[in-house]
Amino acid sequence: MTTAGRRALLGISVALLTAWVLVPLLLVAVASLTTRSQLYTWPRSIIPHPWSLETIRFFFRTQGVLESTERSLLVAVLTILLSVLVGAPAGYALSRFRFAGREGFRLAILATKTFPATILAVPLAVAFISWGLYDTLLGVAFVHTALALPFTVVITTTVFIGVPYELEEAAMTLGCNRLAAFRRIALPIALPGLAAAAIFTFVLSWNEVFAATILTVRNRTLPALVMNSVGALGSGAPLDYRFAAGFFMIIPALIIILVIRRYLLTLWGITVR
Amino acid sequence: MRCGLLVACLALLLGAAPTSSAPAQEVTFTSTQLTPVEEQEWARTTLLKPFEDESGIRVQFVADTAGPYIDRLLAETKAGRGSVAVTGTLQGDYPLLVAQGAVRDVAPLLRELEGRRDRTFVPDVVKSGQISGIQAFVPWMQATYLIVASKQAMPYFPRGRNPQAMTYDDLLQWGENIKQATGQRRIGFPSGPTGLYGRFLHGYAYPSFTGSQVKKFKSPEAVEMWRYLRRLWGVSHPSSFLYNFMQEPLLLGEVWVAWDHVARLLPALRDRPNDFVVLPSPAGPKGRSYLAVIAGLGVPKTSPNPDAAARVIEYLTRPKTQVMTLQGVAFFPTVREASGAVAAGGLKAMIDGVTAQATARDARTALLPIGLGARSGEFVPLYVDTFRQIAVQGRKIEDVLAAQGAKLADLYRATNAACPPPDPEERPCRVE
Amino acid sequence: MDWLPYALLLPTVAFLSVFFVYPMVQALLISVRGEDGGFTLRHFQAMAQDTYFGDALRNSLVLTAITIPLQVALGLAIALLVNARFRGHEWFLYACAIPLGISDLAAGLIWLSVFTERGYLNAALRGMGWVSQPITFLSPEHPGWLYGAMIATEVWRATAIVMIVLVAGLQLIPKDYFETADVFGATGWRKLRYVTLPLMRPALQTALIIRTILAFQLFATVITLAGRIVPVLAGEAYFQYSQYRNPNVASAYAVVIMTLSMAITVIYLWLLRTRDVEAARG
Repeated sequence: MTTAGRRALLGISVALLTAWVLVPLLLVAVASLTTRSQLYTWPRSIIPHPWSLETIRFFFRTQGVLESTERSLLVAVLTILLSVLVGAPAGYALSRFRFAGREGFRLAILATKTFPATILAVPLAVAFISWGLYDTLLGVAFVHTALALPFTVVITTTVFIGVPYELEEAAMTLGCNRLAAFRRIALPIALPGLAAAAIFTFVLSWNEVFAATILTVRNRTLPALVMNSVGALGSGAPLDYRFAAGFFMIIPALIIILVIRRYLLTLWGITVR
Repeated sequence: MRCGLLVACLALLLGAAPTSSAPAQEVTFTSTQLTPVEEQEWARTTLLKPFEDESGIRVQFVADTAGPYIDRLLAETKAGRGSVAVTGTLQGDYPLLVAQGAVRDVAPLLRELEGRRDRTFVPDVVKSGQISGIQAFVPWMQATYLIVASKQAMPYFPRGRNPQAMTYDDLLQWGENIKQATGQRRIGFPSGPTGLYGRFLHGYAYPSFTGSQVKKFKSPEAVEMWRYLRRLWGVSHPSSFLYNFMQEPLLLGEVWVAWDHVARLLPALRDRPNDFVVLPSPAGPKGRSYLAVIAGLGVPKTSPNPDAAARVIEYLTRPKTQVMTLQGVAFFPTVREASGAVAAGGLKAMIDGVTAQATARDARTALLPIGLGARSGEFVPLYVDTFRQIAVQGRKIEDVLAAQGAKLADLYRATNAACPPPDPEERPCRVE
Repeated sequence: MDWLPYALLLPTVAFLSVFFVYPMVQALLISVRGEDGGFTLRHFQAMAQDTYFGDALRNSLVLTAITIPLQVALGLAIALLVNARFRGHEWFLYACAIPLGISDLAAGLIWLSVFTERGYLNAALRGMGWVSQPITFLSPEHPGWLYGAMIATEVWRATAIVMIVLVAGLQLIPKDYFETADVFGATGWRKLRYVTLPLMRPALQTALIIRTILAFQLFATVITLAGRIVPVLAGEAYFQYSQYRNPNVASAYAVVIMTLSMAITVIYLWLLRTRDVEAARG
């Protein structure tokens, strides 16, 4: 294929894929800025006339929405930190060492993830009440970490496999101890993978409804507050609220993904490649 | 390096924990009612505000769908420690809560409230709260189910028939007329995963066709009824299996004639009062059966503040608050002093419709089954699954009824429960 | 240093044991516990006789088998495009990552508004003059449409996680491999087949495992678009637990979900055996 032909193909694929992802999102964004009566009109016009901030404003004013957004962010950040701190060492161990029980361990942690979490509601809540974690953000973050951890371990394992061990060995022969070799060599190269794990963890925590609903009463996170009343299994809110709530949930996620995304492509000046 | 941040976060979280910061005068009120966002906001800012002002008690209103709501109460009961002070849900949820020992006997509270002589609870409604020998709840609100139709559907109503005295045959004919004239199926039922179609089957269709909810489950009359429902499904909107709340397809115009719970129809009437009419549920060979749904207020055994809970209940059952509830969210009063309150617009149309249904000459009340205890959750799915097998999958009616009837009989035998009205009182209820 | 790997695993093991395994074991036990407290298979029998079980099992398998290859193909395509480093590739990556931030509930809501009778798709078709009466896409009478809608939603929503893992994997392939391939005159396709894909095996394995496990947990989007006309295993577990209040049968469903996802995970691990075993040192 000619260079021009290849570039055209690339351009078209990129445009089509971007449209496929973004068009539904734009529909929601626009719908959340449309008045209710227009949303119920057939055929619905894509461009609202007039635009309306009414529903979005209602959400901002609804009791507890801002506090619960703050709580959700806190829980998500805490979950990222906890899951990377707890899970990355395991991922490193799985990628670097051959030891008895290695495969068994890999399967065992994945096994926890195959269990549908909805069914844990009552036992989990009972345990949390007796441990004093019930209705605390820390408790929610612990559960979110437990939900994310198997994947954090699996992703970080992949990542450290991709970091040549020879480099660490070289650093060690040059006088670094194991920890320093890890910190100066493996960690920076592993950054894109850690970013991928962080994005995954954030998203999981931000959108998690079940544990957040059962384990909180007064300290509700945003999904527990909003998604329960607009989701498919929740109670039927009018269309405009549902779109606005959906949009409201998406915005902070957009910002965080934007921030973390940069690390996904950052190579931190590593010259090895 | 990140540990510092982590510690800071932890400190912040622990500081924010309610156990250390909750003021003494705060109660948590959980509910499966008033869950739509607008109604939640109404409950917090309109319904409960005067109470907070007068009592100095802050009420934390937490509305959830039934699943997580019950999970939480059961978990608090099992742990022997809880944060929910007072709770409000449908009568149908209480048998389970009582069976698991999650709620107190509120008989003393009810006597005290009646002793105030400013409110008279409707006796039948009070009786519905007597479960396994205790008074499980103080009656809070009432509701029912009926039909809302778009005015554009009215020209297709069977000629010479009266919509206000509709029969099941009229409804089917109506659907067929619409289908013939427009090529579309415009009758809708809430047959979605959280829709209340099951209530239509056991509380409306069964008693109207067979005069029974349980005993005549597989009778020849029931076979007739299922033949009818299969035909009715044929003129119902093909997306009915997705509908949980009929307000939306009505407002969108996907559906012209919808049967549902009053609270799930009202938003349509509120938004466009001039576009819809309210009609009573249809009558069958055995009368016009309808369900009265009661929501009750209970006090969990683990309530951290039963005294404040009692004050919340006292406030919510005051005639004045009951009128406010009727006008705000169209739930009907459970105390006599509050009836006859005036309303306007879509709400008035709805209230008139409910009254018309209840006072029709051939009206009959069906009640929710009681006595199934921990297995209460299995009752409605038996009817919905029967519908799925007969109308959606097209299996042979007699075979399905025999198989499902056996399950129903097992359920009643195992729980030794009595038949729900209009079936005759019999324990355990036997399926003929 | 024999103890080092175990010490590194300890935090994960401890954490998961306390916050997940402990309640999970309690929940699992009730699937085989009778009213008298003894062992019973009654709940599994009840599940097998449930009118939704057969369909749910079939639908879960079919949906997984259709959506995952699509997601992997699309995710790989996006990852390779991003790696072509054209101008604006960072923004392209960002756009494609956005659906990650959208919960299954919200994704269901978005696509429902596209596919309902009065939805955007019908509005667009009508706007272009292709239909006069709106088409009812979501109807049990048109299972093809119904499945199509669900698959579109799942591919839209969950391709992003595959893509992110694959992008991270691609970042780790040293550039000199490609340079060497170029020197030997390998064309684009051969480079992909013989250099890129083999080197991405660990990342592909990870992406497949994550997606498969999540696919068996799927139910919110399905329920939004197809109600219980298309029952799925995780949905039935939810209904048994939350609506029927029957935790025993719900647990039995959970056991089926676990068994299936674990079986498929083991197959992936075996099929895509990576060099990590050879690379691992002890």
